[in-house]
Amino acid sequence: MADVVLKAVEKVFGSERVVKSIDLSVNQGEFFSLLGPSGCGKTTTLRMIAGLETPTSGDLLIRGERMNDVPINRRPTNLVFQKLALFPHLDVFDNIAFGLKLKGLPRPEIARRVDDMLDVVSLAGFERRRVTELSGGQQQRVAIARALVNAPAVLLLDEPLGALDLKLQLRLQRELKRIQRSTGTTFIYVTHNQAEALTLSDRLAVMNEGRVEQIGSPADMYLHSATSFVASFIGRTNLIAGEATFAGGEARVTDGALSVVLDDADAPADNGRTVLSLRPERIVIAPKTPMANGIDATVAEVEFLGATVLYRMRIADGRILFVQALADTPPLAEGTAVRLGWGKDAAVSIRSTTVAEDVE
Amino acid sequence: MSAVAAAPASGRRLSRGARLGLLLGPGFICVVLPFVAAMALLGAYSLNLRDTTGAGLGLSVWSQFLGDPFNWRVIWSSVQLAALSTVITILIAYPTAAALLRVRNRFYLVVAYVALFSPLLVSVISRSYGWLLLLSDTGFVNQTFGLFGLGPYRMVFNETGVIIALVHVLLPYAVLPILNIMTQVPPVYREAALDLGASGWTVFRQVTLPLTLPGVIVAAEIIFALSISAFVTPSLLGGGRVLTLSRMLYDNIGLIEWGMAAVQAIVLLTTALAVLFVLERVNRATHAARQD
Repeated sequence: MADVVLKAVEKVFGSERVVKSIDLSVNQGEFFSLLGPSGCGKTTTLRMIAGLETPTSGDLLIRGERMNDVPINRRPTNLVFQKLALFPHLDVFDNIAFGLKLKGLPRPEIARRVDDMLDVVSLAGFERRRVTELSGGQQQRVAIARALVNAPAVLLLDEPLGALDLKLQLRLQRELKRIQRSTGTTFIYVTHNQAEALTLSDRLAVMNEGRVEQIGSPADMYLHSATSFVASFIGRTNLIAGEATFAGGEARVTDGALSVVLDDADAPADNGRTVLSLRPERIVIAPKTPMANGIDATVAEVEFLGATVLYRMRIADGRILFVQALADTPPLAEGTAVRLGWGKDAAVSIRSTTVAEDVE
Repeated sequence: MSAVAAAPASGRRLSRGARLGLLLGPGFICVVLPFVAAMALLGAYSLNLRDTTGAGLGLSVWSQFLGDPFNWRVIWSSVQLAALSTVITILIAYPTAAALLRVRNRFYLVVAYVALFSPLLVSVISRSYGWLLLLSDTGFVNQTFGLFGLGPYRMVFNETGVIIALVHVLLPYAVLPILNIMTQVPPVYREAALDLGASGWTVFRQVTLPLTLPGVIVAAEIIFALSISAFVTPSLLGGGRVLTLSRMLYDNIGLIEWGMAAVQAIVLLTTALAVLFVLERVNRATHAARQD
């Protein structure tokens, strides 16, 4: 069942179309992310769902009810703000109890629910602390508790981990996931961090310039990126664009010195321009058995990442191919000449959007 | 520390104390010295140093002043007048500041600031006589009331006129500190409260007002101090019928009653300080609760 549905939702600020006819459907109990670079309209979309912005056109439904004209304080959503916005004049308990008190619940009930929520976010015993005395990670948890304690149909999170250091981010990511699973609340999570979105989400929507580029599971997005933007925004990829020719059940796409062979079923059947995404880890260095595709290259740059090594390999026409290999042997030296190979199924045909931006 | 001291110094570097002294010097000479000197003199005068009554050095003036219930009534009415002016000024200044915060257009903002500060551009004499003309029984305001069959209301030579004129001139002093603190409260608190289900009024009562209260208290302190010591406005608009401490003080100087004038000056100062002290305690309490 869909908890949140957006139908052709648009938002115009002045003369700028910030959100361009978005269609979305978020399922109940789902961890759904809106992922995209800054200025892509993801935060505006979230704020429209929260009720902090009104859609210029289109329909916004939450649990089947049209919400366009429902004011923010009557929506079954709660928002965790990017800047947290914990009330500095209230302690932890009163921050979390803020929404419950407004609902006029009896005091023992409020105390019980706040206590439960403090357990959920692992902050039991912090009731009377001032929020300004807490660490960034603790403040983050109070912000989540303050929103979640109201048992919203949908919890909205606007880059809530953005201001924290990496280690804390990773820890809170796991905690967020745990909280989401244990409460079964629908989460809509806005982030520009693709690793975060891939780690957390059941499904995600990649946004670019006010549009949704693709919606799907993290694995789907990565393995079957629909557009060149998605392919290069999620992880790293080699984009190959050229005309496809077909012969003997195979398609061949040629782009400069690169020529890629794949099953013709995997390439669009027309003879137009085809764009392929070839992930760096699908390329094999010095294959022991012959592969369907091969090219000579020299190592231009080496980036040792720990478990893997990322190479920038220069090919005959001077372009760079990204190649990622397990670091099971010492990395190749710069200038080494190598043979690269990949299978027929390695490259994936994608829809070309506007020329993919270099998101590196 | 010794390593630092042993390091080759530039030779011209002043010590921390010397720099502090230079920074504080002008202010100290202009404000603190005269204040201490004046207080010492006032103290001495209040003990009948410049004897005009022949009672000799001592507490005779003090007991004369404090023993007269009339003087207590004047003190009380001065405090009341100042408190009422303060409350009314704050009540007008708060929404004014909130409105100014929302003005985006630069031109309108300039217009608003000019309007706000216009009372300060006019000398106190012409401003007060202006109010007399406006508020007198046959003045513009009462004539306007008359068109609707109302009035005339007595608004000059009583406390009403004094308060109107004080609020008018003190408003900018209240708007600025309140506006200042409002700009320091990010709008996201308001959004968060709304998101948690609060109505506009609840947001104001439970979030905006507590967070802006320190600015309100600073404004109240300024307005109270200025209005309890105001002299020209209460004199002109009160027409001698509104008796305040500052007015009594002035009269005694005119009568060369140095001892009594000194006692009243000290009482005036003490009263103002007592109220400021209370307000500052409230401020501390709210600050402690905010602590950011």
